[in-house]
Amino acid sequence: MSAPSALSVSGLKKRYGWRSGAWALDNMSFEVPSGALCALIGPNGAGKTTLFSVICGFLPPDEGSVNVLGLGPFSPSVHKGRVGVLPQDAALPERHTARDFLRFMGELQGLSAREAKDAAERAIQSVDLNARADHTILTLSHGMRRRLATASALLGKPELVLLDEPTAGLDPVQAHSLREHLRQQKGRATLVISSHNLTELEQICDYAVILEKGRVVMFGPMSELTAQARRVRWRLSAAPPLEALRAALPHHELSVQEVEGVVELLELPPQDADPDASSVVLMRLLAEAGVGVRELRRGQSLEESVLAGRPPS
Amino acid sequence: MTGPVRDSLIIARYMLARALRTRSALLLVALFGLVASGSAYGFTRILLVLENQVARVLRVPKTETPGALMDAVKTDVDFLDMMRAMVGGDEALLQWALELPLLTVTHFWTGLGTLPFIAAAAGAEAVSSDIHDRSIRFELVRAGRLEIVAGRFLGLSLLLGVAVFGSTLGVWAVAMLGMINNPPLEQMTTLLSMSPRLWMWCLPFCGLGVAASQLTANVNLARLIALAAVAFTWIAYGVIEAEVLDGWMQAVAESAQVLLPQAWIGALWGPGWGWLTPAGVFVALAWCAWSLGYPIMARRNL
Repeated sequence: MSAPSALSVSGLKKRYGWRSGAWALDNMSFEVPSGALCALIGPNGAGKTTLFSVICGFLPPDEGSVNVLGLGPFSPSVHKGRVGVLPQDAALPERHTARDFLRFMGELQGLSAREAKDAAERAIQSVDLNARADHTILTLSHGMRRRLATASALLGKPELVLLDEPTAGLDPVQAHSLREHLRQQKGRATLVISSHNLTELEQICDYAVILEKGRVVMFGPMSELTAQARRVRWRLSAAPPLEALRAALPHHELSVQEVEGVVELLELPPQDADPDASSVVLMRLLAEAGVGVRELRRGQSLEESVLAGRPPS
Repeated sequence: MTGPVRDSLIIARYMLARALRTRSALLLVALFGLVASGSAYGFTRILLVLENQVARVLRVPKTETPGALMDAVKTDVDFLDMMRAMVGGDEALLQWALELPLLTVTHFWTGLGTLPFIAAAAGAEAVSSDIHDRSIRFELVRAGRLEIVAGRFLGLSLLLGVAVFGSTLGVWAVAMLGMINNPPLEQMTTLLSMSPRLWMWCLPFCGLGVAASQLTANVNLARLIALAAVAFTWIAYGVIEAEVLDGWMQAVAESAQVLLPQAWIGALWGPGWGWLTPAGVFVALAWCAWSLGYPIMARRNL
C-alpha cells in the first residue's frame, strides 16, 4: 500500500481574465507523498505561484481538484493550523510588530494566547529576529521580512508547508541559515518549496515537481530525477581506452565527450550494478593506461535534469 | 466559543490593538475630535451673538464670554427655533434638550451630520488595502473570508467607539475654556451619556464602508463608493421626507424608509433608554450593510 499523499492535484485548470486567456494551469496532476521535502520547479510563468494560490484557496480553480492532507480542498476551518504558507508576493502587514504579527497568526491558527506567545518566541529565535522583534514590520529590511514570513509559515506544528521563493532576497548567510532550518523540518512536515535556485532545491529536497507552461513535465523522487544512484561522470586528463573499458564492463553504457577542453567519461551502470566495484575496475584500467582522474561525480545535477527537460534514461 | 466567532474576535482585537498603537486610531480620534471641537467652538460663537442680542434687548452690558446669559437665551425665539430644528421639531424633545448643556446638544447634532462620512471612510479601508498588497493572504490561510470581514468590521466599530468617546474630551475642553456657567461634571456626564448613541449611529455607515471595501482593491475608489453611498442615504431620506414622489412610489419609499438609519434619528434623541431601540436597529443595519459586499468578496481572487 502506497504512502498517503500530503498533497494531491488532479486535472487542475486555471486561467486569468476572460475565456480567451492562456491557461496558467493546464490540466495539472501530481502527488506529493507525506513527509517529502518537495521542490516545485519551473521557469517564470510556469504556474508555480498560481498553483500555490489555488492550493491555498486564494484563487478558485476553473476545473480539477486539490486534496490537501487527504481532507479535500483547502479550507481554513478544516486545515486550520495544519497548513503553513509563505506567499511569494504578499506584503506583511506593516503596522504590526514582528512579535505581535506572529502571535496574531498563532492565535488565528487555533493556538491559545499562551501557546501562540511561546510559538512566536520560538519562531523569532529560529529565524534570528530577536533584536528586531518589537519593531514594526515597516522598519524591517527585505531579508528580515522574508524570514519573518517564513517563520509565520512554520509557526506551530503544520503538517504541510508551502513556501514560495523562501530565500529570494536573502544574503548568502541568511539563505544558508534558512536552508538548514528547512532541512530540519524533514520528518516533521511535508514541505513544498518553489525556487529558481536549483542547487538550493537539490540540497534541501528529496522530491520534485517540474512545471512548464502550466503543465507538469515530470515529478518524482529527486534521486530519480537526478539519477543520483546511477550516473557517474569521470573528468579525465586524457582520452581513455574506451574499447578496453567496454570489454571490462560489458553491461555498462560508456561514452566519451569533451567539455570545455576536458575529457569526460560518462558511465551509466545497470540498475543492479555495484557502483563501488565498477569504480575500482575503471580506476585500475585508467591508471594502467596512464590516464589521470581529475574529478568523479555521481548522478547529474537537478539543473542539468531540468535543462535537459527529461530525466536521464 | 465556536471557531468562526473566535476568529472574528481575534482579528478585531488585533486590529484595534494595532490601531491604538499606531497613528491610525490617533488620526481617527483627532479627526472627529477636531470636527467636534471645531463645531463646539462655532456654536459658542453663535451663542455669543445670541447672548449679545438678548443683552441689547435687556439693556445689560454685552458679554465677552458665552454662557453668561444662558437662561435668558433659552427664551429667545431665534435660539428656540434653532434648537427646535435640531431635534426635528418635537416639542417634548425640545424641552428635554433645553435642560442639557448647550454643547452636549450641539455635539450630538454635529455627530449625526459628520460621523456617517467619517465612519464610511474608515470602513472603506477594512480589507481593500490588504487585498491590494495581498497581506490578507496571511490571514486567509488561517481564517475564512467571512470571519476576516466580520472581524475587521468589529475592530473598526470598536475603533469608532474610541474616536467618539475620545472626541468628548475636545468638546468638554471647549466648553470649559470657551464658556462660563458650565458645570464641568454635568457637561462631561451628559457628553458621555450621548456618546453611546453616536457610536451606534455611525455603525450602519461603517458597514457601508466595509461593503465598499470588499468591492475593490483600490482604497480611494472604495472610499469614494462608501461616501457616495452615505450621501445617497441622506438624499433618499430627504426625498422621502419631502414627499415629492408620486402616489405608489411615495408609499413604497415610506415603507422602505425604515432601512435608512436617518429614519431612526428621532428615536435616538430623548431621555431614558428609548435610544436602545434605534441602537439595535443600527447594529442590524450595520451587519446587513457590510454583508452587501460579501458575495463579491467570497468569489474574488485574493
